Amino acid sequence: MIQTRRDFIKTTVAASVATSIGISVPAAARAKTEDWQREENWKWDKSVCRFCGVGCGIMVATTAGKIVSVKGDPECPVNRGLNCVKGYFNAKIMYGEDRLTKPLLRMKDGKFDKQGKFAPVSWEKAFDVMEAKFKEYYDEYGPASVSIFGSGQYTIDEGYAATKFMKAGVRSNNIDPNARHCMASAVAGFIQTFGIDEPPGCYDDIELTDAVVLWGANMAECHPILWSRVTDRKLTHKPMKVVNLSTFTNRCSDLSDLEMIFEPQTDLAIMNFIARYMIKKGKVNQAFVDKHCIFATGPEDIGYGLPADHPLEQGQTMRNKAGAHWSISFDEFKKKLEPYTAEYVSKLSGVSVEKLVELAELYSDPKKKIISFWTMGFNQHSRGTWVNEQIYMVHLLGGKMSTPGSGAFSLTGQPSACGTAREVGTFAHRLPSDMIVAKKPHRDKSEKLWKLPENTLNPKVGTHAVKMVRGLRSGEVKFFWAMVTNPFQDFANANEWIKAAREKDNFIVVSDCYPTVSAKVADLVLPVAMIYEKWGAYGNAERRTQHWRQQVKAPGDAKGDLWQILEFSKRFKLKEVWKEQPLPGLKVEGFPDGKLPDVLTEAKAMGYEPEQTLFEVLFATPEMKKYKWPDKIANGHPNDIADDFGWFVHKALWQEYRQFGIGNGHDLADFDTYHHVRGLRWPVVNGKETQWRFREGYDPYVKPGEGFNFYGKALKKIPSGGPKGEKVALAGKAKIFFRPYAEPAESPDKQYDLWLCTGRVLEHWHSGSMTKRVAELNRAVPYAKCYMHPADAKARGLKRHDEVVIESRRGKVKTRIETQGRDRMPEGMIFVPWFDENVLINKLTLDATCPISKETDYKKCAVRVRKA
Amino acid sequence: MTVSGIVMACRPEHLGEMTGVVNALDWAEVHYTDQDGRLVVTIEASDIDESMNRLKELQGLPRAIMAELAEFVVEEADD
Repeated sequence: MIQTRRDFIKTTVAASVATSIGISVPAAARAKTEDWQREENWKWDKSVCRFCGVGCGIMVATTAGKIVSVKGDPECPVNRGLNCVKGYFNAKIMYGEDRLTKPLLRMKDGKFDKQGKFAPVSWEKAFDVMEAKFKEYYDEYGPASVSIFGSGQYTIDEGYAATKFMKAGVRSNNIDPNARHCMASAVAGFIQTFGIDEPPGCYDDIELTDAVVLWGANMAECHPILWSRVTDRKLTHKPMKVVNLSTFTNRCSDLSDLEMIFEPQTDLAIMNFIARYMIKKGKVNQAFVDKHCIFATGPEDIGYGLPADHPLEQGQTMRNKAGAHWSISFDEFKKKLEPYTAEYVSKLSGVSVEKLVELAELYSDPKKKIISFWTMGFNQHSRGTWVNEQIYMVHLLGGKMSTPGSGAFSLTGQPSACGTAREVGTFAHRLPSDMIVAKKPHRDKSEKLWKLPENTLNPKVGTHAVKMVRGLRSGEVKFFWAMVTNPFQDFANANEWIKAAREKDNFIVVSDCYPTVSAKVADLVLPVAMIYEKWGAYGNAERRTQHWRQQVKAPGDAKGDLWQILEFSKRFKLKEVWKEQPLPGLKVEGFPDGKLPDVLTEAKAMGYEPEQTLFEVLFATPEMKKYKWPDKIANGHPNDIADDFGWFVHKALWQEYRQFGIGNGHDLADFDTYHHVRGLRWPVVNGKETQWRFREGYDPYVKPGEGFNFYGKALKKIPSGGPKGEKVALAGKAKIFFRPYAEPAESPDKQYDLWLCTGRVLEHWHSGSMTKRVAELNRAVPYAKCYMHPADAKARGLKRHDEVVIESRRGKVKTRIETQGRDRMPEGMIFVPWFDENVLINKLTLDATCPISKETDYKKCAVRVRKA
Repeated sequence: MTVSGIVMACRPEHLGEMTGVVNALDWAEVHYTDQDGRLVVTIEASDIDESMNRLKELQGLPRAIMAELAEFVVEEADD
């Protein structure tokens, strides 16, 4: 039989795909595929997808210094050879026409001028001005005036270096990631409930479960590869049920057995109904609860995370102690649930009693394994921490946690929100490995590992992300460096912060790959190397850490964020940063009031000299330089940063960083190991990863006979019976919280009569900086539409595709309406994705946050729509 | 010319019908199926845009629960 080359390619592609997903392929077809790939002379290497938190493995093929092909990695257990449409375009995101390749500084008459126009400058000039502005503010106002706004897209080494530079170097805790907008409520929920961060379970649960319940998670568009695994399970396991709880109908509804469209914010009440139902029907797993849990609650008058003078904050007496909590009895817990009857919750939520009962039955059935997935519907919520705690309430009552096939599982939106933001601790209050700056033993441990004099680390919690931009407005924050993120498109109430950045006395640095909204707002733009132009590691939503090698070189003068941090650290001498520093408001035992002490004398005793730079003391240390470059683990791949500095910076940082987690429930393997595997889920003890934490037989930290041990150490000593009760220790136990329903911060009214919900679409990722540069993705979804119910459109004299103005109390944008398609809105609500800088929807959103997690509620504010 | 390798899924009871519908498209071909309702399909197209549109068409087929891109090749046509 004569076969054309086209037929040949089709046969080989089909065989390759079938093999990768485990469909049996004849040996001859398999061999043909392998031969073809050899002939093409492509060099394949494993890597990781740049986009969401699923953490798909991808294979990258290079030839002659260029990426020529990308495909799903069949050996990666996450995606098993599949890619979503964005994943395929990973290589193309680096090749947009307007890629930044030179530092750009606002200049007038040859000098920096905040009102000047962008002009290309050398790296030296860029750092000269950046250093001068940093020191101008730092010397006058101290460490609280400078900040880095980081990212859940930082590689682990970048986040670690940035944290070390800020916390150990310039002694400022003002580093906070965009993960504050994304994961902070999940983090607070984990810490409050289990005393340790991140999901106990893993993706393997999907193939073992009987039911998947989505709570505010449009997995079909936002986590498509995990959704394909849910789909697979649904098709191959008859008892499998899928439930989609959402405020509008989305693509997940197509596969669902039960769809529940509820009024925004009433998820809080639905949760309490389920708990009440389980108790009334005798479905509580009493043995599990008695042995492994306690009941708790906290204050209710906690406000909405708005500035103190905002009307909504008046009378909210516990707004600054929102996270306080105390233990209560099971009887008190039951009493608090009593108002949440089916009838009451049905009226509040708009969900029928029948559907509520069907859902509660699913959670109550002791024989059914069940997973709850959520993302931003829970996290971006003015009671985000509460609703996270409530899903654990439901799972813990049924004993359905940390069990193969059962668990409450928080999905992540960014590729290393877990690996970098959370595990490294690039937050204003954190240190690596779940430690916090406010605790002396944690500072002591960090100072020891970082070889710092005692009391170098600043014990005062820094400025969280939302406070950071409010600080730009008030003048408290003067220096703001955004890395791997696009803050002036991302922050709610964006008009305020853009204005503050442009008009106030401050200096804004943006490290970016393209001229984003933030780059345009900046005073200085630093061009960055992107994903496969550098070595890196990400940690995904199931605690899987995955490393990759550099594949190609960055264009022009673009440099990795790690290089930028290390180069900038050369500009600071110890005598400038480790001297006595003003820190208004500091009142902590062992520190002078309002000051960080001079630690130069002790530094001298440790062998440091005041003239040494932070680069020498924090990064180019003898221990770090032991890691030589080149290294055989590179397997011929380049490493521009190692070439520049002369040692294997990434490996050195990793080996130091992993010391924080050893024996602390966060154990990570050594650097080289990750280059031989498709990621490992921590804790990695004796070379073995952990699928289910807290569970005997899986987690090495749980002893034989314990069954479960919720061993997280944070917040495990709490008052008993009330806020002033005697403190009791709860080692090994999880907390079942009661949290009440609370009104949203802003609801539709006569003036602004519609709910606005924002979010993502399949084709674009986050603010679209990368995916908007891929012509195919941009053509597929060229602009952000306003999804609206046909009746709402009709009532406003609008028809599909009409141009409209959407307005809130904070701003307005123009776009076109869509009354059909992937998202079907209920009456009274619109959805607008936030990827499009030309439809800058965050000009409209409200910067109300969960008062505990400080994460913004991007899902609920009031708007109106009219014809443009 | 481009060739995309696609993984599709439908309910197992619809597999025969789904295979027929996909094979009836002159730019798509079903190569492998399994009892769980999965299909391995290739799409031929003149360029990436057309390929993406055709993928969307597969995603929109009435019995299709999922269609995801798994592999993609751009090739000069030889015939």
